[in-house]
Amino acid sequence: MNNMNLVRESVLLKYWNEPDRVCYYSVPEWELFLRQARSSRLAGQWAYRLAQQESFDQIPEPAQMALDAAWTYSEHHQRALMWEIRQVEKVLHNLDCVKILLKGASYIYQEMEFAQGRLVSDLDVLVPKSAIQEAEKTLLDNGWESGKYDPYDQRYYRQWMHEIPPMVNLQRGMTIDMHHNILPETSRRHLDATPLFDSAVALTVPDSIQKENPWAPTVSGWRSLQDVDMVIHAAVHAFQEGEIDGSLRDIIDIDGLLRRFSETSSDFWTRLLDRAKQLGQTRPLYYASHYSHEILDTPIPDEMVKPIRKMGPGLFARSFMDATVFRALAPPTYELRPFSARFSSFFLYARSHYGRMPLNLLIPHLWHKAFPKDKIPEPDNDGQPMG
Amino acid sequence: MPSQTVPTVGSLTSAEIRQRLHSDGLRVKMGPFAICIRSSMADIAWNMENLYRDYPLADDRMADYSVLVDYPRGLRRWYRPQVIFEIDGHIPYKPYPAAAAIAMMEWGLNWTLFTGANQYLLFHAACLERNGKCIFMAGKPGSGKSTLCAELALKQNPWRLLTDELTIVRKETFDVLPLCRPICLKNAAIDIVAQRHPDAFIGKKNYNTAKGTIAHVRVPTDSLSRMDEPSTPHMILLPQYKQGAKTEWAELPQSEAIMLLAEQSFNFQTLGAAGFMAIKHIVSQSKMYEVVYSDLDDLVPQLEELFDE
Repeated sequence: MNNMNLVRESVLLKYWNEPDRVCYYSVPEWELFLRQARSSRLAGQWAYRLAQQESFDQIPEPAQMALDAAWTYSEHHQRALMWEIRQVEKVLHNLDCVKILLKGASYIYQEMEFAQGRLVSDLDVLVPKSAIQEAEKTLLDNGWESGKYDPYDQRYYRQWMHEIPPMVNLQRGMTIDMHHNILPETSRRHLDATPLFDSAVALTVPDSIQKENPWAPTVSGWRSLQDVDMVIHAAVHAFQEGEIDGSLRDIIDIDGLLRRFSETSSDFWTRLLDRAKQLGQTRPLYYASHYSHEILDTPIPDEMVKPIRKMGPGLFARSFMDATVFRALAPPTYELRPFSARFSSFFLYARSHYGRMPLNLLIPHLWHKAFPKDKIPEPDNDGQPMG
Repeated sequence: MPSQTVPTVGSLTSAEIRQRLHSDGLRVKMGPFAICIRSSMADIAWNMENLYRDYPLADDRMADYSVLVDYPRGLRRWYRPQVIFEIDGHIPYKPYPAAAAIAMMEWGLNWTLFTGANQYLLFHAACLERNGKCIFMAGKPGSGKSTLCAELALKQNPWRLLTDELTIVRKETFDVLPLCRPICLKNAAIDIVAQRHPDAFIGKKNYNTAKGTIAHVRVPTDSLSRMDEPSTPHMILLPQYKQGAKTEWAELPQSEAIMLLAEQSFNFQTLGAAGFMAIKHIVSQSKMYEVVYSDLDDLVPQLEELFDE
């Protein structure tokens, strides 16, 4: 099997667009399917898709139970996130600036269908750089604390990154990442964030909240990036900033966004390409649309295929990326992760770091991470085994 | 209707058990779950052959979870060998010295269920049945909960063991599903149980774990053969072992019992309203006590009298 098929033809993804066919999987296929779904943290999203199917009854009972469990967990997760979003909105109410929800939090707040059942690990927020100190102070005064104790880490975030160190709510344990840009200050693709704020769109309070409090205002204090910027941010996150390791979820987000916006806006693709050029993010957009199309058959209009290919790298880099990305994204089988997959993940990790900082900063940074001086230990979240 | 005999792990030879663990996995039914275990470790094969001897094989159904308990890859297989537990591509606990393989398997299975099985309401509690009704025993580590649990399950005229550590409640019917995993004993409790019940089968001791020395007691055959019979909650008990103490009972107010169950539940919050309704239902139909004790021979008859009343 070639590398692309490791992902595309996996039991986890091959019927992503025809969920009905999963209902007829054999028992061994179901076992592997659930293993891959849980390991990629996609079980909740699958549960939502499968619950809509008429042939749901064909699913073996243990699989139905597992999907029920995953759905229950994701519902809880989204409930907690929605609550957190509302609490942060209240706390930052008097902060006079544009406040934008990013990524998972935004998809869920906007009740986008592709994100039903999606898990979100942190609440990501974007505010202008001029307001970020005030935002941080307000949160610190209202029950949040900085999750990074090491002075080096503090400096790393404040001087070089596009976000301040993550903050944790002391009561609820949920983490908030306050960003002032979508790429690090030191990144080679660094961009001016002003156009993102200028074109951000106002949000209405989600139906689920309106149902609970019919007397509350319907206009939210939150905004969203505009459609094309949401895609570009997802692309940048998946292919420039983040670790590609285990980020099948990012590809699923990109596919969901592209499908949704192609339907809601007729000139979406033209605007998307123009915007990517304007923001200098054509390469990440190439990767995003390429992998989303290769893995999940995301429709790309014919007239866009060529211009998108032009945004890609040369043949050599392209085939190298294909080899590594597909390997790194391959869902697990029953073997421990093969060396090739671990190497691919490492390569992509190194690549994203190289994109993040120039070498004269990166090498000392990695040196510090490998051999920390006077390291202040972070609290150990590794639970003690029970029993 | 003639009862069908289900093949058990014990119906396989040692070589067959090893062979299955080595290849596609040994499929074992534990309460409502079918678990597929893979391992190349001799201790795990020994454990399956002995402690899990009477568990039904689950060859005819889909496995809920496939787990690997094995040496890590690389040097630590040979040099001061370690053991890892892997589930769904994830390794929840740091590697342990290989001598604690059995403990690692039990912890890993606990972790798998209490983080994943959100189709049920899950409690950190022991649960045993008498006359068709069951008792929840919750308590902090060191409260003597496991020793008391082993005592009730192994005594003459025993209680039916549903679970020693992880109690599973169906959120639709509020009844308890047996899980029937081996009883985990720590430190001094191992010798106490061995002395009081010389016939009980106690597995290999795992020394120097995070919890001290650990050993597991085989579940009585009768409990295992009734693995699919649910039970109705009837009593909640918060035992507290205190050296030299006289047995003293105190009723637990409903409000405290609700808080106790919520605290001892792994996924009360995750289940939202369904979790709250289940806890409310259990508390409303249960007697609730806390008890301080040091002498099992004094405690058990009193407990049974209170339970039967």
